[in-house]
Amino acid sequence: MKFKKFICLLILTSLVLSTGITASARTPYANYYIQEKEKTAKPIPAAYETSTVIDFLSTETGKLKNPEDMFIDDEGKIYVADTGNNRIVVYGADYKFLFEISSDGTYVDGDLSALKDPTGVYVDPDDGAIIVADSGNGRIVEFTKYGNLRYSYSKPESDLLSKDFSYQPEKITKDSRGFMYVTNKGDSNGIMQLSSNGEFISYYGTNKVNLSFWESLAKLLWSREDRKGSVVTLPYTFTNIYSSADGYMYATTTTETPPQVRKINIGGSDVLYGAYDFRDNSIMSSFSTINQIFCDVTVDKYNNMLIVDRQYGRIYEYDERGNNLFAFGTKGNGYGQLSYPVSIETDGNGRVYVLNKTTGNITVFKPTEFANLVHVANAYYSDGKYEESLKEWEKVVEKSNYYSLALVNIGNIKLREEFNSEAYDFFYEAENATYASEAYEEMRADFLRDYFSWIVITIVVLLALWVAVVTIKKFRRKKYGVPVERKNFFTAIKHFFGRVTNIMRHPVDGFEEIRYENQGSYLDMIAIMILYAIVSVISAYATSFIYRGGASLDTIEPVLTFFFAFLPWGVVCIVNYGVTTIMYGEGRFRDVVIGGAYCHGPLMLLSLPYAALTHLLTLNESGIYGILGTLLTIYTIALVYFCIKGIHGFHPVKAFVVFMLTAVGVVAVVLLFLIVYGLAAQMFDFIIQFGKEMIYLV
Amino acid sequence: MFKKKNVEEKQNNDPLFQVARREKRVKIIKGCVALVFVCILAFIIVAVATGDGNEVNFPKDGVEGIREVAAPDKSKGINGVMLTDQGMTVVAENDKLKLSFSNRDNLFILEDLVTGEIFRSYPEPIHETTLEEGETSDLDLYAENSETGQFITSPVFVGYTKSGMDGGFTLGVNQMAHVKTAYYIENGVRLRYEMKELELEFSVEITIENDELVYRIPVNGIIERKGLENEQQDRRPLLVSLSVLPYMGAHRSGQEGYFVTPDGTGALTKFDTARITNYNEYSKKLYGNDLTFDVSDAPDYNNLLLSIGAYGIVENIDDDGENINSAANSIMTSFIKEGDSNAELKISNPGIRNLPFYAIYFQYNYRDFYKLQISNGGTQYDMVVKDKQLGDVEQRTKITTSETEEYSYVDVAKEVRSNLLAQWKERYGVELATGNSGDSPVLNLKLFMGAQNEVGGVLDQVKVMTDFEDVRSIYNELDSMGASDLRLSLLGWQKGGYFWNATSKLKVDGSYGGKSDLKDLYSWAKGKDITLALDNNLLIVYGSPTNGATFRNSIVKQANTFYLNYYIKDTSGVFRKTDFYVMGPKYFDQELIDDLIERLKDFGANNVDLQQLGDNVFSDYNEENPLFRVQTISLYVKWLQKYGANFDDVAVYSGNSYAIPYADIIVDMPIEKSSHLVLDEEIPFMQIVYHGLVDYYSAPVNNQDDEAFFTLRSIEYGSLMSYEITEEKTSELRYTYYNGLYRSEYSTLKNEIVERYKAVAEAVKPFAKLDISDHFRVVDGLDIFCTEYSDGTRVYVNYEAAEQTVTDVNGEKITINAESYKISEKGGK
Repeated sequence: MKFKKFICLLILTSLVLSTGITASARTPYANYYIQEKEKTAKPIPAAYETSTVIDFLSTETGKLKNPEDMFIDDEGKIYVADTGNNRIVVYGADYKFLFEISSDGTYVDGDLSALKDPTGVYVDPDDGAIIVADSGNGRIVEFTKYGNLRYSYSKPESDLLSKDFSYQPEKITKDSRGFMYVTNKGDSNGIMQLSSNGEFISYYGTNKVNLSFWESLAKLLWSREDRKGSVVTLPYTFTNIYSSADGYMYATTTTETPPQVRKINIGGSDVLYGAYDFRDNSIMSSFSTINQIFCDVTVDKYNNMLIVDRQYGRIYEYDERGNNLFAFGTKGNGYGQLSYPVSIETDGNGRVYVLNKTTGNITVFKPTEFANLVHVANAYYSDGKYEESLKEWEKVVEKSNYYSLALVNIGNIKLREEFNSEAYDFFYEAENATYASEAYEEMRADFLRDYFSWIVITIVVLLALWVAVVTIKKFRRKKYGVPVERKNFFTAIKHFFGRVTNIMRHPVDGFEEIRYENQGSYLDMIAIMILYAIVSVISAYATSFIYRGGASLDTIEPVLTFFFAFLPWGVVCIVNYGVTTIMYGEGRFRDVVIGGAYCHGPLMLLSLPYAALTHLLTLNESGIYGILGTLLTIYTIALVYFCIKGIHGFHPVKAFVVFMLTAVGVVAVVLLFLIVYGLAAQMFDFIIQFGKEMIYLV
Repeated sequence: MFKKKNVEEKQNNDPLFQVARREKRVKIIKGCVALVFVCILAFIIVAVATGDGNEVNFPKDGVEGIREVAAPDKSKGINGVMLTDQGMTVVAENDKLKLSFSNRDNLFILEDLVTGEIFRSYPEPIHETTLEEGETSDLDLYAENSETGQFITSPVFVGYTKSGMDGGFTLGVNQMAHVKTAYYIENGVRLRYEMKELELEFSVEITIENDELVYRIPVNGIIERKGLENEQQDRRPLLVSLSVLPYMGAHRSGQEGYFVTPDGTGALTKFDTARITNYNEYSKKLYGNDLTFDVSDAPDYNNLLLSIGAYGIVENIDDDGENINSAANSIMTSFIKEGDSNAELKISNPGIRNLPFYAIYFQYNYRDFYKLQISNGGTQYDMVVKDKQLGDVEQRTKITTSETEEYSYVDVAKEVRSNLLAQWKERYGVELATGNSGDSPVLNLKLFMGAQNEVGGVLDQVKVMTDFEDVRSIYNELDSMGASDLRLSLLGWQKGGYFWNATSKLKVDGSYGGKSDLKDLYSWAKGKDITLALDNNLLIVYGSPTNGATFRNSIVKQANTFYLNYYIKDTSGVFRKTDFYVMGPKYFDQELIDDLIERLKDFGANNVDLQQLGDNVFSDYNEENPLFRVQTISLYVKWLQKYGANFDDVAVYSGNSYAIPYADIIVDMPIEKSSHLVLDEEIPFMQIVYHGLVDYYSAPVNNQDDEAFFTLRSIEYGSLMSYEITEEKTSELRYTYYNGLYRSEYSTLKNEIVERYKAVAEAVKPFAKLDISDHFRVVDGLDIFCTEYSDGTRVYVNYEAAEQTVTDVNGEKITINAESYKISEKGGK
């Protein structure tokens, strides 16, 4: 028990406005970012924390009912399209009610001309005019900043609009030229561009039709007449629009596949990081099967784009270059969770506002120290203030050790400062092969500059040594004759490689000898295949970071790689034996599998040097790497051809036919496998389900 | 003979004979195959028809009724029975309380005889005649034939299922057809309900004992399917849950006071707060969700534990001496004495069910529902389990009132603490007292050793993040920097790293240095008197059962017969699809625990951190080893005793109350509440209850959303702090399942570790043996809090961005720096 406390505040050293716990040790949602490579989720400290939830319950006008849209002006005033209550409500920056607009003030047949299902609201930054998409009345209404009617634009008329044109404006925005942009419900022609007088100008940013493979095929094969009666695929429609200060129009669309979000320039073209797929792989690869629905987009003061997903309650922030800065939020009914987000806005303080439809409230998130650091560092970087940026990025890395944007940007700054090795380390940590390649190029140039003479000397010395060894060998042979070879383990290995290289050098004779002179052996076959499998695994690890595409060594699956090395050999041999049996080939199965193994000679011998080569090359020389790889492949394929020809004793033309038939057979086997696998999986699933049912019933 | 041989030879050479013989064989084979099929079919038909082929036979301990239904006091009423239309009648009275009951109105009134404070089993309606300014009458809500009226006035809420596969319903008993009989019993009343439609009878006893109101539900008084016991079980009504006097202590919006709940660290639900619209009743199982039933596709971010079976209602007369229906300041502290294993806390706020009340109560779950979806994409049914999971229930509510003293959540916590102490003594024979704690080091350094990559990696080797040698060098360096009183806890030291398969034999992973290095490390630690603990996952099977364990004998089954998968939360807030499972506690008890303890001792270990025991209680429907939650708790307690007997210090995670008598330390003690909208403010409820009894560490600070806040909150809540560190770069973990860390590299953290060490050593550690005697917000509207310890020392914590000056109780001015703390030594004395 205690008595009332008589402690009072004596001195307030600063004005404090907070009324509750201003920070929380824990955010009730996931905080992460999506790494560009592989689009996987990586952990970060919270970027935004819940600042408050504006419920409007205590305002004199009562609660919002199924609101659909929200706008925040430069002064921080909040305008809400309170759709269910047929009004626009305006709140001050302190979230207090200012006024509402429920009609345009005119009378029609003695009744006030009320708003009906207003679903969009926009405020003109120039004069504070409130422009409303009065969806239920099929009109755009413009009010003064005090809520008095200025204009009402009813259904536009134009020759460009079809006769059965239906007009139900949903969202509205305006550009700096005074043009209005309106999304019309169900209108797949694009965003309607209206003049400042409400006259229709044209459709803007028209979406493309997303055809599936079969739809494209049908379109290709069937005439328009034939396709009559079938379902017509229309372009997807727009769900929300936002015009940014720099003249771009951001829009969300109904499509679940790219482009879910568009950034459209003045000419109507998409300029948003190519066909970026905004789906969050980390969510979609879990138990969830339902696609995300991006329902609104906004841009903050740093020109970062924020989009909100209605399905999972996630908010994603991207910078101008398309880097995902943060992802956060979750669907739910807790404090700071999103129940049914429909609109997202930001204010001048960097706070993010999300309007929830079903609960009729606004969840306000404020950036944390981490988010502020990232924003400032990124802004400095974009402005070319690299020194300032570096300091901020280093603080970011302190808070989140492997935040890749920070690592990449630090790397780039280091690269500019010619700390190439350090830069490479940062790119390596960020798993960014492209930038790592640039750093490596500089490092290589530095190395060559510093050690060129040593390299030349080394090469010359090595060449001289090689010449000397060869000369001595020749001399000794001349003098003492060919030395008698002793039989031991090393000579056995030497002979093994001799046989492999012999076939590589003389494939025509080599493969014939396998068939007709019983050359080759099962032992050789096993040795070659196992060595090849081992080399495959080692090559995977030995390939440089740059040529692995930035993939970590931790992502390599050595066991799978090892066994996968046997797969092509096995399939080709079986198919080839089948084909050649029909085609009267003379080769036995023994010859086919042994010959097939010998075909792996080049891969077995050259894969490692090929992988080692990647440590000398940058991505700029990827052409060389590609050509060498192609040559290696061609060499191997040529050996397969000579193997077929030699082992089965075919005429070259017939050998080619059999070769092609084998290739077709391999494709057929793979397809068959996939089909059988699919059916077997279904069958297996059926048995499992049946078993479960039986277990449960019994 | 020769002739016969000849004939056989002749027959063998006869092609026609051979054909005939082959046909005969084929016929026999066909017949056999058909017979096998018929037999299988017949077996299935018989099994389905007779049912219960996979009946799970649960042990009875903990769910059997020990108490008999109270006998009627035949000296009162008509042979002990109260008249149906009887108005308010005093049914019990002692020198502190008077309990009255109106059988007609279903109303209980409890009166504190000292102050005259009245407590009703449901709030009094606002009558037209007694309206005050701004009030409107809500008499309509109480109309006898209205849904709300029947609901509010119900002394019992009944959860039931009609078909066994409908997901269940919960209604006030008055909303359903029933026959009620009220019996006078010693010190109170027994209400017996007969519900013909539900084929159910049950009794609840409401009595007073000293200054406590006591609810009891004897399990022997519950009779289901009377006369229908032998009928087919399926598609019949069954009892699911009961709640007694749920609107006792209910308040209207705007009244002074609040609910106190032990959600997470503890939380308040204030009656006078402008509340965000919320139609979701707070509903949380005590001791955490039951993994076996509460299967979810996505992690719940409101999942902080409810670790103590208690709640409080605090009501103070406001500054001008007024408060509706109140004559005095009061607290009601409810505590579950029996039935805690299956209790669920419910909190409603105005608006829910169209009622204007705040209400708080425990619901006792006799059965749970499980999901049954036989085919992928098929209909999912909510099926009820057949067996009752709960025995007798007893909930005691202490009434404390005063006309002068003002109460707070601290008083509720203190009352709960004394209840817990009594319960531990009664249940386990363990007497804890203040000063039991306080020996633990200042900082708990969790050293993450390593984990395997999700895929591949070089030959599936463990990704070594810290090895045994690193542990030594890290400690030595921190020691040299001034942070010597450290607790070192090794995570993922087992063979295979953190995601060690709990069914396999316990070994040390060689890549950290192996068993000999661990032994050396222990020798070194013991030589330096350092607490070195090994973290142990006891029940999660990361992989498939091995080492003699099979799915059938070792893995927890759900009631739908499927094995229980254990999912890991992904960075992006979803579950990952993994083939991990939960081991049946019985299997662990019978096959593994002794060997595990021996092996740990063989490694030289003298301190252990035990996962699951303090934060994870579940049922098991595996036919081999079935368990109800109450039995799982008994096993946990038994294991804690065993570990306690073999090791110096035993730590548990999170701190469910049943584990405290045997736990020396709680790690990852929550210092936050859940984000449910009905919870308004965090309070150190758990800390006030446990402080001085057991040492506790908050979760590692270096991966918290707001580290500065978290540090201050730890200091405010008297919590020792933790770090989770690795010698290697944090990014090395990104392709393991342990990929949630973003800041763990020791070299980048060492300076701040020392800094925070100093803060905790100054502001938390010296008071670890003491009780928290008080805690309060210093100034309304400002985030400045004070924690007072039993020696009078006060720790002020200022969360504000500016320096603040306050006056202590002794008149001394105290200036606290922005986002900092200040200690006022023995200021109260």
